[in-house]
Amino acid sequence: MGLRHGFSKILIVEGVDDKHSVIGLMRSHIVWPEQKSGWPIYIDLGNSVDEILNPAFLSTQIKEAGVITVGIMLDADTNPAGRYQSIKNTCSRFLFPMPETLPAEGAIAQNLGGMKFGVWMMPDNSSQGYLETFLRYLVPDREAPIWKHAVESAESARKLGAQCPEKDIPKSNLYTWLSWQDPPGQQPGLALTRHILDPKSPYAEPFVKWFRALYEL
Amino acid sequence: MISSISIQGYRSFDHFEMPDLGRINLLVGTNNSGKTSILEAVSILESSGDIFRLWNILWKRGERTYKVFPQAASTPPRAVAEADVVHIFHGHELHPGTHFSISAKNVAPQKTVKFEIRELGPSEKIDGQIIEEGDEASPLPRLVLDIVSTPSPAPLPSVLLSKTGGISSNNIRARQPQLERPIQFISTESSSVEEIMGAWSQISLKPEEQLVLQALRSLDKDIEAIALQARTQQQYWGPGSRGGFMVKLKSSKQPVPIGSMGDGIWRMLALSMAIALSKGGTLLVDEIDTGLHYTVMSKMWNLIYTAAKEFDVQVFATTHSYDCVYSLAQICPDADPQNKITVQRIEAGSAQPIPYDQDELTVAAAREIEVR
Repeated sequence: MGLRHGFSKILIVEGVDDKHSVIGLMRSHIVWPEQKSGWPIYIDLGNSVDEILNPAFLSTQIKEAGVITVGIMLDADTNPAGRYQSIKNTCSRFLFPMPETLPAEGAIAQNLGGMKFGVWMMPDNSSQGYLETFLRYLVPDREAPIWKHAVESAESARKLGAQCPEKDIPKSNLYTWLSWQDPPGQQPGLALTRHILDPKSPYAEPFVKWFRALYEL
Repeated sequence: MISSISIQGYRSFDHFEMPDLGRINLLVGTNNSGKTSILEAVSILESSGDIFRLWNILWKRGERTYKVFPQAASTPPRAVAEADVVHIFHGHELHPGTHFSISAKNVAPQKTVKFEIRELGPSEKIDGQIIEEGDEASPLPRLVLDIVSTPSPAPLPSVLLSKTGGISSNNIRARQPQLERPIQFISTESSSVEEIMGAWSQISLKPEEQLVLQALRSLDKDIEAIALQARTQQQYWGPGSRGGFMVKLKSSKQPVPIGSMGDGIWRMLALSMAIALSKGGTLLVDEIDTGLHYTVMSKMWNLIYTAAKEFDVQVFATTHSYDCVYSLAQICPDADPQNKITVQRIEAGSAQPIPYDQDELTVAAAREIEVR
């Protein structure tokens, strides 16, 4: 019997940061017990985006015995529209009435069998980017000068030869800023739990709304 | 191989379709979802409606009675076995017109077996059918079971049902079993000594004996050989006896009775012989994990898959066990597309199962996703 036993609602994410960020964010909005067995949903980690977009992967999750709701949270990366279409194609055989393009509030669809399926692409379902692009906006306003300093420092480091790739700059900025907090260097999920990143930020509202509507929590 | 089966009106299935079948098909689902009924339906279809096969199905389900007929004075009454037919029809009632049909859809022309109830005609006589002894003229017409298999070389003779809707053993005694392709059905009960000995007599000294030995060695590497030794009548049929099958173990000088080795060995013996005897045909196994520890299930599936491909056997099995499904998933990454592996979750009341192909089973095993 697996770890997923007893869960009827599943969220699929790419990695541990995504998982803990969701928990850290949502626990300020809904009840989220410490013990895994009491969690409102099961969060599954895909090993890679390619694995998550593999039709057999998605179909197996959707068909799992006792599961009534499946959601996916992915980084938009450089091609959010393409990723969405790929997911939409895989799900078509389950007859979810998915919208043609991914709306700003995220996608939620229910089929005639009563199953629900949802898609959210970080940061906002249309822009390119990542979880860290989203989390940037949860940095509290009072931290604005320190955030600016983090961005500038990271840029200076790159000028000195630091190897961070262009596309990972949002992540670099965020982790730079986190390294100066108390305690230094905590994971974003913990930072959200401790309100060092602000889970009640208005910027987070659309995601929170999507989550609560999909999972009916 | 059947690639798609359709069941109408058989037991709990009103309309049921199971497409995309493969070399191995493992049926899962809650109790009473109808898994065993599907095995029975495949058996009926593949045997083209053979009445003996139906008799065995009803017998194993306990849908049978003995009718006692008084004899002349000083003669003990005679008991005649009778199998009840009513429960194989969806709705559990027998009327003229009540019917069920089972079809395989991938073949052209489509293969179908239909069982239908009708009234016995006023002056109709059916060859070989005995009207029940002690039978007064009844105001109700008698019912007849017609079995039609298409395509078929010849129509199957009708069967006269008893007044209580049963098939009397009297009325099938004169029939010959019709079997074009071998079908082996292993039920949940432990195989009887007679069944095992009968199977052994067809395998002993043939190449298939190696398959059986290999299967037993997968449970216990210590096994070197298996043989049937002559025993007295007492020893054959005594309680707990296993018919004189002896096993030579590496670690012991004297042969050991197979009964000393536990139920798993007996079960694996039955299973491996059944596969050997179903060449070119169908193997049906109810609760295939019975008696087998989870550590040997992967070996069991490997054995079955390899043998099924080599001997051209299509396998349908049922299980409740997570380990059994998980072990089958372990062989999926190496399964070839010509010999598909599927798991079908049967949900009571649903017109089709939830299917899993080998790619999905691989994902399910990796992530402990519950397919049952």
